[in-house]
Amino acid sequence: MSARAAVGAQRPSAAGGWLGWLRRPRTGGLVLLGLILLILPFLLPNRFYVSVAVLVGINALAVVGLNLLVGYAGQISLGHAGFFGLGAYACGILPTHLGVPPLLAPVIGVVVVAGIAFVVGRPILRLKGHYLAMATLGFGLLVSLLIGNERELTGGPDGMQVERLVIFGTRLRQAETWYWIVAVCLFLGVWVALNLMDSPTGRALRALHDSEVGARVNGVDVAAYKLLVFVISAIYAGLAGALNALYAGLITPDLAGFLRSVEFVTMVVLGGMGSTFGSLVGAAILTSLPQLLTVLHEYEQVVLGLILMACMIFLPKGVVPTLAQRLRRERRP
Amino acid sequence: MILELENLGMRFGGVKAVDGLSYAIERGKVHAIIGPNGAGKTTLFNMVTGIYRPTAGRIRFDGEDVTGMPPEELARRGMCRTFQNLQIFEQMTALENVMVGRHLHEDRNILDHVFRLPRLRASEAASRARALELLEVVGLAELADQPAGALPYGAMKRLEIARALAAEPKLLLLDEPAAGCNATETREIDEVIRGLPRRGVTVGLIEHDMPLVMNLSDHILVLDYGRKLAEGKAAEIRRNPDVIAAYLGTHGQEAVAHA
Amino acid sequence: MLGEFLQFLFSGLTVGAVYALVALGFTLIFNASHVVNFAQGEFVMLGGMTTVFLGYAGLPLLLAAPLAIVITALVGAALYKLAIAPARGATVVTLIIITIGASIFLRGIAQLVFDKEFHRLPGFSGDDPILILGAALLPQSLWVLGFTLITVLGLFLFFNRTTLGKAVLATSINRLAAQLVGLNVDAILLLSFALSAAIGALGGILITPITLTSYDAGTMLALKGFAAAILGGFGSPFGAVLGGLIVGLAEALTAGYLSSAYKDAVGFLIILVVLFFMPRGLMGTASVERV
Repeated sequence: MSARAAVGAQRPSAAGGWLGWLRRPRTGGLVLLGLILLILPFLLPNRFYVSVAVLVGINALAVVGLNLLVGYAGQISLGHAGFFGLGAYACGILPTHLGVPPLLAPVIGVVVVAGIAFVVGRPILRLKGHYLAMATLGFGLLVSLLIGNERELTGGPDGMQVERLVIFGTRLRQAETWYWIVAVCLFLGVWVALNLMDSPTGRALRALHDSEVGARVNGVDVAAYKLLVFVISAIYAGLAGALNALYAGLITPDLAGFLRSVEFVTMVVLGGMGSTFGSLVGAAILTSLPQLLTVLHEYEQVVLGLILMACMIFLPKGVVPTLAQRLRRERRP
Repeated sequence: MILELENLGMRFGGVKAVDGLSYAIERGKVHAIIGPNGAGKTTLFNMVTGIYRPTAGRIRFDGEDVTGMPPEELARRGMCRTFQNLQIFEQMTALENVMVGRHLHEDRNILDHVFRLPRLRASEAASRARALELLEVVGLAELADQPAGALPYGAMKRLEIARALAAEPKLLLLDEPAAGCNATETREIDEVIRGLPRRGVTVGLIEHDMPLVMNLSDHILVLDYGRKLAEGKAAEIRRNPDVIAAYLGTHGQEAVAHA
Repeated sequence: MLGEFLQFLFSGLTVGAVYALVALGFTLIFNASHVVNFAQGEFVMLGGMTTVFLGYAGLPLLLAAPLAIVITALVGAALYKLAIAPARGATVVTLIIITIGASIFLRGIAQLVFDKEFHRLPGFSGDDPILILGAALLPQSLWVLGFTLITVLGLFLFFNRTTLGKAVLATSINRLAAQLVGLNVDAILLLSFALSAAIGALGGILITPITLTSYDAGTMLALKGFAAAILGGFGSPFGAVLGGLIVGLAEALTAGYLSSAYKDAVGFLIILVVLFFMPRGLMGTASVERV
């Protein structure tokens, strides 16, 4: 849902009152999302589908964040799974090796991820285009290399167990419980993302996407904003990784791997760059299909590659914005 | 003097694009910079607006030495510019483009944005209102919700001016605002520029359109091969034989005589 | 001591030569089309894997290798025709994503057509190491270095002495001008991709006897080849070779004296160091953004 549509819909000519408020793409979309999240568990036939939904939610959270960086601000990150993996392994390492209470681990993990993103982002974001892509690729590979090699800390290539959260005496293990936790996080994440993009920050990011020098001469501190959106998107990914770890109970280095980074980028591209709701759709499609059609597993890379190429050539705006554009065109006489 | 250039120079490798240039722009006036292609005009602008770092000389803005400061710092001090090749935000609407111009005067606190606090809503409403006003001034109000990339060329040029004005600059530098515009569009831009000193904006402009320059400027600087060839009021420059020889040629002489 | 050092030197130069070939591929395509082809590493992988499997199907190396090169060259041409050409005028980010997509796609196909195992080829002249000053030099290393040298010289002659090569150079300097003088730019780009793929495939065949290969070997090779290309100065063929050798040496010395687990990180670190401290690389040319 582009901020542009949101601005357009706030003109005085829109219907007034409650209905008008609901008609605005941003609030309408949020309400719809909330309804879907509330109703979905009752529509799913069994626990397997609920667990798929949890995974969709986790990936969607990471992708909403990545979309801010790639879709709105026009940067590129081929190593975002590195932050995802760092968030996950924080939840593994901190309680197991440092005695941190499991409830605190995700919080510390996200803070650490943000810190790393800040330190790494500053120099890396001075690069553009291919150089930025390669640098982020290298970052992601470095993280998964580290995770894979430091056996004592991370269990190496075989992965490690993650201590579960215990709240009021119950260990949080069930897919149903995690569905609600992830749904709340996702809803808040989407709300924050939409608010950010429909604000001076969002305009500054979209401006620097189109013309960095044009933004700078109007006072936009482009370097600072790039770093800001990089850190924010890292936080989303780190949080998603943490949720993944706490839900699954077992983590492996491929959570930070190149393939996962590409999966995230594909979800952004498919759903629609610069569309938060599009990211949800992209995540939903690309997470659930391999889960539901296990025969596709062998073909995953082929399909991912095809989607990336086909999308960029034929559907550069992605699924949701293209549909939105078609609908808008049909509405006009 | 709002802008003082002292012995400014720019080298690219062995080429001196600008050499030993000293000039001053007076507050509240319209100054024009003219010269043949390649004379160094845009390079000069790029130096003044922080896109290039001068290899020699100093720049003083409002009394402060701003040599080598980046564009965003200069914008904060009240200097804004438009571009010869347009640096419009094509994916954003015309309205949003102008709102970006207002960036420095908006609520930039990210927490306000994340939680959509009342302070932000007020800032957004004010921004939108001001942006619409400015679009009116440049005659683009009906196109407010169009994607900027879809606008006609002349409209884009005016949009960039509106965006620059949204920053409420003390000094506005326009790089060939009338380039590629037809007679009507040029007239519209002329009107906009004329109104600026009244709003407290000093104007520096690079232009090739001689009638526009002669009628609009209070003072003119002529560049040739990166050096100052002449400076003075419009009437003096018209008659200056060096200027005519270097730049205007025979066709130009006629254009000047009829301007 | 000396023996150990020489050992690392040999292996570093050998693998560096392959990185040089990857870097040459990057440079060739970038020079012609201003696209950085992330799928470059997959060409190397395809060269090696195709040769291996053609061998399993009964073909002798002398037939399998050239056939594999031709097949990979066709893949390169297909990449251009089907994925790059249709996206004409796209932004840098779009092109990056397209070539990443191509890279993943090729990996996926390789996984299906071949398998997920590691594979090896026998050394061209046997696998018995030659002992020099206490270091074991694999005869395959000599093949690698030799072929790389021939390829570099061949490319040099091609670009500087043949009309077609000069046409490619002309296209890279100014595409519009090249079109205006009647050069078939599309065909030239097609050729560049095919040639680049062939060079990559050659590198893959040369190195498989030493380092083995598998369907996912491409990504790391692309990263290291890119490091080599930017170290040498993007766009400079001799820079690509120099960069490749330096990266290979740095990696081998790191693996030998510091830590073999993190030797892959060397390429990444080189990328960062070059981009932050000498973005033009060792032999590249500067460019100024004109506003």
